[in-house]
Amino acid sequence: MTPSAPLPPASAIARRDLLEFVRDRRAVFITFLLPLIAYPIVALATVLGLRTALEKIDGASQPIELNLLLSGPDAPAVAARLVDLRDAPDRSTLKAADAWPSSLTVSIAAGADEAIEEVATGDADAWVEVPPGTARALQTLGGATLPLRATSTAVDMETAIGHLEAVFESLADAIRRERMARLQVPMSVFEPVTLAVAPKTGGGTSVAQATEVVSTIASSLLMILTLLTVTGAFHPAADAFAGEKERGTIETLLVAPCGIHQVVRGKFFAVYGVTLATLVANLVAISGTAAVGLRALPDNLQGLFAVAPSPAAVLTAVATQAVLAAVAAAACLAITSSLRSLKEAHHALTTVMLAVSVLAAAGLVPMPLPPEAIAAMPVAGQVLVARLALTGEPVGILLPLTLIAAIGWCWLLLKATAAALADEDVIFRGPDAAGGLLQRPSPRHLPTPAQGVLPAIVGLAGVWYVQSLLPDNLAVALPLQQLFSMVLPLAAVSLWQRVDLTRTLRLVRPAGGGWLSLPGAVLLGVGLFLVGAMTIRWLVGDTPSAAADELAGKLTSLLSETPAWIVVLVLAVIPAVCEELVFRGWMLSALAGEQPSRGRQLAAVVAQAALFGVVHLLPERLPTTFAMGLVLGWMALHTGSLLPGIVCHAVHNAVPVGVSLLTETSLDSLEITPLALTAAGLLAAGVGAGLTLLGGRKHITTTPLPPRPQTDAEGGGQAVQKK
Amino acid sequence: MVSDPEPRAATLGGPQGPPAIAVSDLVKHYQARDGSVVRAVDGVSFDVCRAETVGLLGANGAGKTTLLRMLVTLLKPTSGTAEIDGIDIREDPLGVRRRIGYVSATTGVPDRLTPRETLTSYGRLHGLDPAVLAASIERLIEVLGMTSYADRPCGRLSSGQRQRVSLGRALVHEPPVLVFDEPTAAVDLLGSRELLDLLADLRNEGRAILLSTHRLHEIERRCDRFVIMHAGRVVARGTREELLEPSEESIEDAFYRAVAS
Repeated sequence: MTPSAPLPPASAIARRDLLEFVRDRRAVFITFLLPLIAYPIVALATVLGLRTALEKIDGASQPIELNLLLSGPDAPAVAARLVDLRDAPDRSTLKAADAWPSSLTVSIAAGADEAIEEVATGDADAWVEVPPGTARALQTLGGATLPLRATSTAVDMETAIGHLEAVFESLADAIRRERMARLQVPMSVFEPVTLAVAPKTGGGTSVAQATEVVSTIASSLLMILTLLTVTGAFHPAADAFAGEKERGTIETLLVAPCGIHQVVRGKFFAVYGVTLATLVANLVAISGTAAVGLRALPDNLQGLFAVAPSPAAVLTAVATQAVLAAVAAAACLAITSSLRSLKEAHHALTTVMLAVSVLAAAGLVPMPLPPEAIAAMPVAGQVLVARLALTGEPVGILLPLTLIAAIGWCWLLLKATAAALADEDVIFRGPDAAGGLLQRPSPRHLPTPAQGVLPAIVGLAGVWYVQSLLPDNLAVALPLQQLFSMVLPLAAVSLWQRVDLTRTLRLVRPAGGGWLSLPGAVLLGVGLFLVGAMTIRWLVGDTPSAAADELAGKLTSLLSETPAWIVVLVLAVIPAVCEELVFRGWMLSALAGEQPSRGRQLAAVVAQAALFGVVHLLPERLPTTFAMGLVLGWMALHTGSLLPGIVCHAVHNAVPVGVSLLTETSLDSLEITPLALTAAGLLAAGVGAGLTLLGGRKHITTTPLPPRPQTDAEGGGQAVQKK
Repeated sequence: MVSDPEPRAATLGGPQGPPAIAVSDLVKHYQARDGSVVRAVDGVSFDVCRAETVGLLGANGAGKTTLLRMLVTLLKPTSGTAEIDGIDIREDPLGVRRRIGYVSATTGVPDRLTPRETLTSYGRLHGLDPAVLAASIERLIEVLGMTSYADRPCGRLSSGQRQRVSLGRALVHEPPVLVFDEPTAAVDLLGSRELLDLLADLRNEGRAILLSTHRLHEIERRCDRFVIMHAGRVVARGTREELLEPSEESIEDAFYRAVAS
């Protein structure tokens, strides 16, 4: 060993994990060799598919020699016309002339039997029956329908029919022109306007088509690359905690003289290292496959080289994928940190695969969200920026935005991982529910972080499924929505996981008796509404989304048809109580956990605020609901009570109702400048926050122990008398 | 309850100086599935001096593992505290971890690393200087008799050999205090005897050793003192001579009597 300075604990852990990973030959093979095999297979299938498709298209567009058989008494007359047309020098001016067969032979059959035989033997390619009277009809101003009786199996039926249709369309056009000339009517009577299309230049694929092909290939490649890169995190992440627990080595790691954050950081470095190496293996495989595969492309697709992405675009895409790998590594660690065996971990990681697929798709297909919002999402944001870069579209602010957002996501996910590791129940508990599926877990003081976010996620699904069943009348629909999205999920989860509800839901008086924090909450509510409303107006201008517009319309009709106290109850009080119970009560307590550090408190507040923003399902209001969640989260932690948050939230929701009722108009219509409203809002919010701050800080402590019952064995531990 | 008030003879190689482990009214409560409170450890006090081996005896479920996990800072006490080499387990858990070596029956070793690599990785975790660490590992490999398999993957070693690796891991940072939770549970008779011989050497080097087991006959003559736990409490403690009644022949008899009372 060469002398050097001692390694930081995180590096030591990462080094040990990476060494173990490299020794696991099967895992290395799957992680690194899979992409090297997968991409050539995909490429081979693509090239073969393209070739087959092109051959089919080529075959369909190639003119063939057509031997047409006519039958019936008027067949000679029609045959003569067709032959004349075929030999006419100006045939190219007629309609459909360019779709004629390369050569046309017309012959006449004596009867149906002979025609059938000739088609069956392949002497004729198609048999058309000419009905009696056709010749006369064509000479006068009449018309005729000529049935196609059979085509030979010797030719492609679709191609033969296509050519026949062209031949008869040209015939019809020729006859039409003759009639018009006879009647001395100019052609323009029937065709006043014609679009002249210039013939396509050259035989190669046009630039527009090529760009489209590149875009499709880039999207497919990005999807495969994302999924394969993420799978690189699976094995080391499953091994990181669940594997250590299975082998009995987790204790030795947790008694090492370093904090849990160092352990998590070390594990993250190891998982990220393997994920990055997987990404590199994928990129090498893609480059190699492309170099070989493009040579195997048909000549007419070689033009794609001309619109291949620039080195800068490729660099941007690689950078975003590297950041995506970090998010994936952190997500896999967070999901597996509370699991006890590799089997459990691998099972849980399939959900990551599903989530990544959905999120990656969100970055590839058009979404009803501004690109900035998608860029801030995990996976979707990085895929979006990579796609834009590869297809030559401007990336602009989206690149730094997605990089910063990804760092934020990693931070949150690693905080969640550390939270699971710090939970004694999670690390040392026995197997779950030996007594059946419905057996409830052991009671806890606070819910676990996973249980903390469960009501919101169940509620989000719940509101999605019930929204079509809700009545139009908001006075009924809104309380029902709160019932399904907040109250019932919270009730179900709290019934399942028994906790100290008073403490979890912060059902206590605010610190300092609430004398300052409650008026502070009122002012903060007013201020937050004003600042929020002005921010939304600044962000989206005067054109709200259809969903927001529809909601505004419903609210207006609610205000005009319903007593004021019901409106305040439905819009302000009920949502404030329900949402505060779920987000700042249950979820924040669960995420912050027992005796939270400052970092953990911050992570918990940010995470619940993010989910609070998401469940409102209005993209344009996401920034303001997120900010509102942050303020309410801070308030709950600072005062130790849910009450100021409920007051603040209710006042925030009640302000527009109050404005409408008092002035019989909306805030937007008031003759006050946005700047003045924003200033007033900031002032109110500032004074409110100051009062809340002064109201006293809640000291975060562990729950007092349950009273110790008296037992007979008090005073245990006496020394046995020496004999 | 305070630390053991009885004076002990400071014999050569025997208990010396102030307690290296001082447990003071340590309590750990859990909530059971039915909502009741489980008192896994319920007001336990005792101490262990340097150059002393104390046997922590108790049936399965007596609270031994919970107690030891609190001492090595894997679990937080509900109340009470303990000091390891003068460091409070609540106030400075990282300081405690630097002074303690811990091996349990369930402690595993990484299958794909060799004993040498295992010791190296844990030495690094303790922030040891690479040169010091290398010397320490060579010495441990020799002392623990691992020379013949020091570079073989741990996954191919016998249970006894793996337990020696585990012991080496706990010793790599030269801790003054050692805590063993059923270290011989997964080892055969021969391996168990060799392991206990090693522990005796470690004690004679001046370390404080707390050793939990329910295989009483193995440690009867190897511990300076015993602490007997039952249902989360200390029900008896003292030297072998102090614990045995005239009619009793082994520490097992004293254990059954203490638990039954």
